[in-house]
Amino acid sequence: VAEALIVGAAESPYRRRAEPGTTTAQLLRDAFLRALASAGLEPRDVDGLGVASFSLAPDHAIDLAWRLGLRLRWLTEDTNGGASALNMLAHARRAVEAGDADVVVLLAGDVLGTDDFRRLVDGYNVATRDHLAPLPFGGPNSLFALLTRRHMLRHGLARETYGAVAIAQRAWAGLNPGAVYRAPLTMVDYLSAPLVADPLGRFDCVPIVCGADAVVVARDRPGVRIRALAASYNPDGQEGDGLVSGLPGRLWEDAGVGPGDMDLVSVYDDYPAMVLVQLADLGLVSGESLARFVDTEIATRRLPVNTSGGQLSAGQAGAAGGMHGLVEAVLQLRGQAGHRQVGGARTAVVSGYGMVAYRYGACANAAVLEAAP
Amino acid sequence: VIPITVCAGCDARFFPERLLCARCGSSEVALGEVSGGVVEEATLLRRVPGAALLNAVPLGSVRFDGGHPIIVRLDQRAERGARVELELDGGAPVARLYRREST
Repeated sequence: VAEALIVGAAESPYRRRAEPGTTTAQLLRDAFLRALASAGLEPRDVDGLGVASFSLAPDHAIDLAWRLGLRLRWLTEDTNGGASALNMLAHARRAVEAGDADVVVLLAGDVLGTDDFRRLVDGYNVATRDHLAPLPFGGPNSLFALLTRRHMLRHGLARETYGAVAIAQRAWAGLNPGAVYRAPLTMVDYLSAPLVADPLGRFDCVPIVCGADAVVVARDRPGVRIRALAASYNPDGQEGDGLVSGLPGRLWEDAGVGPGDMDLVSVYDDYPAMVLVQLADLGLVSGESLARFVDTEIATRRLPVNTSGGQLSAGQAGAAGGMHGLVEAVLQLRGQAGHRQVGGARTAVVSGYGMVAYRYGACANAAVLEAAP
Repeated sequence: VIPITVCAGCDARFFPERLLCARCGSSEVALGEVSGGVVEEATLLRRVPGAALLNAVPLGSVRFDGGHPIIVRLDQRAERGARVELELDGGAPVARLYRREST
């Protein structure tokens, strides 16, 4: 079986607010064209499409296919938020390897204003609509404030450790012209920012932006290898502490390489605590002290984590949040990451996380990627 | 009190409502209720998307008796370990700090 590879990846530039009149479909179109161009392919080459978006409604994947003029034999739509990109990649990879499709484009993007976002988070699912929105809870920030408190207690951390994660990512963002928030961040800025929900301040909470991402999956073309992909959905029924994601499962066994072999990491970063939770789950944390690990590995870039600036600085474009880190890893492995290029990057691990069913994310997945020989 | 799902097979308790027992898989689940729990973490919600709140809202994670943690509104700021009484207010679980009557 010919191996499915990621042969193209691109991002439609993120904006804090979309230009008036800009629609989600237009941003998805832009990401679609950019990703195809990066793969040296044309729209007529595409016979598979996957879409994740909170704001495309009432249109669905088929409506987008129609409006893009695509003739398809494989189509999917994914509702798994920050885990949608890797979930779609898992399906697309198998479809391309089985011959159900030859060229699949996976799209994720959103245009969400403040009111749209409020409606989205208050009506996220039945449990949220019925039992969280009437609290009120203000969206996931309060839930991750409680999770971060548990994380602080478990690991004996102070706010400064989370601040160091946010500051390190902001420094990466300074090298990424596509990041929305690029101004250097200091610990004084971090600690003196208004609190959103104790202990989370403004710089702990992922900023909502507008944008779209896309990747192209195909065979028999140069591309980035998917060495392994693992997923964990509803691992603990929302009854645990949320300080484990359910990964890595069989990720490293299937990949045939280990966490120590990774040249860079893209972990889903809605909050700094979740960066640390996923790094630990994936076996990337060395030593006993998380605080020391952040200072010696992340802040120094000995372990390059979220090299685009991550969602914490590049911004979270709704459902594109889960594809942002994937696109960044592919750019890095193709040597196309500009001033933030990690020299000689050959391997990367990418994670997705999301869908707060009630108290924390219920979906997690991760992929190990490798540059073409 | 707040309504919970109780498993007839293994007595596992869940909030919000479940369709099957998530512990033993039994379909014999029924509506029950629970009246108390213990605060595990608390926060003060000061901002919602697009706005600062005039009155910050104390929220918490409370482990209900015989069950798991749920998200509640606290009637006042509370510390880890505080005992609370639970009730539902427009769907929102609300926790009131339990006070012993002084004699």
